[in-house]
Amino acid sequence: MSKPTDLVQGTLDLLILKTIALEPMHGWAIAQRIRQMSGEVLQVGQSALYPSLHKLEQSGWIHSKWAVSENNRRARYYTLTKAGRKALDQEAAQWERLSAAISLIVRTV
Amino acid sequence: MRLTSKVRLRLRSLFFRDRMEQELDEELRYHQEREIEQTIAAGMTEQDARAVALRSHVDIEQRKEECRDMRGLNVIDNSLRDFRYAIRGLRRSPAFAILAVLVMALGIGANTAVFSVVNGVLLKPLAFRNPDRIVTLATVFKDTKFPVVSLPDFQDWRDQSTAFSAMACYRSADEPARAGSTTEYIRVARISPELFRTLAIAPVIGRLFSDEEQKTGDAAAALISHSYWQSHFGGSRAVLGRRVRIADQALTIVGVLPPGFHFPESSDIWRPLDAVDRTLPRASHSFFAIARLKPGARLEQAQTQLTSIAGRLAQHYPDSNKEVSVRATGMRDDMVIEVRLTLYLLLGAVCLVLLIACANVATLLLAKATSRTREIAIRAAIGARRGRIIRQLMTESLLLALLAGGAGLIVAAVGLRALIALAPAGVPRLAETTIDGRVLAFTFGVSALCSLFFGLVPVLYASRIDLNDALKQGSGRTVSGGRSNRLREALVVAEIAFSVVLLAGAGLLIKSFVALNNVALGFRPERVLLMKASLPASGLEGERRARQFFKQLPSDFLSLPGVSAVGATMGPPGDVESAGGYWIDHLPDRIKSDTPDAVFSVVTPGTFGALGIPLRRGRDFADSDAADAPYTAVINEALARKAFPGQDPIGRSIFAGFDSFDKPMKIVGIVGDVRQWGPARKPEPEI
Repeated sequence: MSKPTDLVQGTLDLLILKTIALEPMHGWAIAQRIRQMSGEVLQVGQSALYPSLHKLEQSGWIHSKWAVSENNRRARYYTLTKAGRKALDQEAAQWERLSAAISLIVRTV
Repeated sequence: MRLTSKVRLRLRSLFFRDRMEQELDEELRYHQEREIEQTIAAGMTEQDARAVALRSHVDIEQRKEECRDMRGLNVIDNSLRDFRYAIRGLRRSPAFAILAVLVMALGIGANTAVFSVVNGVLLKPLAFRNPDRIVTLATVFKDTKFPVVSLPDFQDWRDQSTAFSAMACYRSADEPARAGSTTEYIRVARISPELFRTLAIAPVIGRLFSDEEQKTGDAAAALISHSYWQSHFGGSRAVLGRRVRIADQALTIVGVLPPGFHFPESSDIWRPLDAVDRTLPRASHSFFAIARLKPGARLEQAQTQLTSIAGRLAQHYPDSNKEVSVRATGMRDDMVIEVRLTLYLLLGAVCLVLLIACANVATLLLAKATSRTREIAIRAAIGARRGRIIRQLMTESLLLALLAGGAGLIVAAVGLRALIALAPAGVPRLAETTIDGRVLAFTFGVSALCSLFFGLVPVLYASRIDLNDALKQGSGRTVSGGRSNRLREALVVAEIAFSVVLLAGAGLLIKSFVALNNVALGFRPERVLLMKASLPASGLEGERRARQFFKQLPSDFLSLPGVSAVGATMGPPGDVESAGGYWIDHLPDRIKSDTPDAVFSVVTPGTFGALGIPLRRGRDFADSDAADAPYTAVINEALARKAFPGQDPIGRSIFAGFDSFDKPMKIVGIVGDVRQWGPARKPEPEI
């Protein structure tokens, strides 16, 4: 497996929430989507993805359900909950602020 | 996130372990297979792809562990494992386990027992509604508080104050009561109408006294306690209207009071104040009084009001009420004020015992930890984090402490019974003491605290183990440096310090106990038996018969084999029945409140001899000193010294409130002093 790019702690949560905000997805698909959307830059490995998913479920932001996947196998699909949607908005806003701030510094110096 | 769904998820993780595990496995495996499919699609042979996947298979187990961590499963899991491991550890060394548990059980048990008493006596609210609102009223004379009041004073306080919703007075005495065929001494309380309203008590069956019964006083109505109802009337509802005889009066039972209610002083029968009570003068303080504060009224306000009323009374009745005031005190404070310090001292002492026990067990654990150095080092070497090892050690301590707590409860149950049996009479509310929820919580808390205390010692030790050193020592036992020694030294020093304090305290206590036991009582209590008798005496005929009976009684006893001397007295030593003022030679025109006091007692000829009280001068009473002869008196040395300094009291006259105030009693003898109030009080003047 390719070495995952280091992500700022907590950023992965944001990426996962954002990814499944569109539709319910299973873990594999989430990893694929993140890779594609980031132009192959961000590679999320199992070691980061699943603990993060389980933590998010434990804190009630996402909800899991077993369903049949696109290749006709049973897979665990994750959906955003109401609380998760609120958290996503907050995290996204925070990320905007943070990245804008960092950009400001990086560009001016 | 709603708490409920969080809890639900947690519980699911706990109780559906197998399903969770299976799902986790399936989920991760699905990912793996998709990965393989993708690699094949990218052009790798299936075999190569599988090889890659297999390598990463090892990872799966680790992934799972990480996921479990995230679900918070490991905390519970590890704790359970720690506990199982701790139990195994204790089983492996049963001698150590039993010793440690026993030592701690003694400490915890002693603490629990004493705390039960503190809880029952000092902390638990009284069993009345809004007990904080109930106050006791006491007479203050020259800045000294006496817990008694006089009826006229009480009536003035009641009528003139506005801060109380009810105020009641009462007195109680052991009286011979007869229900059915048995007669026995029962605590009978005579009460003013408002007592039950003050305490907010209602009868379980029947009714309280009617106004009529209260007013006439001699109307023959009685209320009985729940336990008396159960034991003497079988709890039958037909008890209402039945009779109970007190002395020679038949009282009709009109009601039964709730279970557990025995106020005042374990009373079983209540009756209204009688006609005699109502005629007692203002200077006669024969009653106790309580009152309930009105909602919103504060104790200080009530006190101010009472003080000003007392001031007015002092102006109106200077003879009896000069320098007399009144004080209101919260009832519970008033009840326990004398025992509070003792109880807290006792609690402090058993705390020290517990600390010593803790120090002992800590030493034991430290010795054990030293011999476990290798084990701990190995666990650390194969990857146990420090926190994990500390948790393991603390779990062992906690297990020990909880076992000890359980055993301690047994010790406490036995100890509590012993405490109640051994305690001096007169500790209020002691009988109500039980091991209740609060005591259980206390025991549990103490156990947990103890485990923290003695568990920290091996932890401190273990966290300093040098892995390298420990593993290199092939012999298995390591002699590690000064640190653990210093720890042990500190423990021993603390232990000795506690022990010395405790021993010194206990020694002092024993010394005062011995001193108290060796006090010269003024009489010889050995081989003296005490009996109590009373007869109904109403009307002249009854009085004559009673007199005949009592006259006959001593000689009847004297004829019994083994009896060498017989006497009869109104108040045997240690049980003062009466006291009051006395006057020498002649009565003053007006009775003032600053008259000197003496203890009164009525005795038969021969009583001094039977009790071994020495006759110093003059003579004992004789059979001729009867009611129809001129009155005679014997006084004690204390009175002789006080009233007749440098003079001969024999032949002088003394007046006191026995049968009549106005007849002089001729002093015929002087006897030695007796400590009338018990060994701890000085002898007082006595007639």
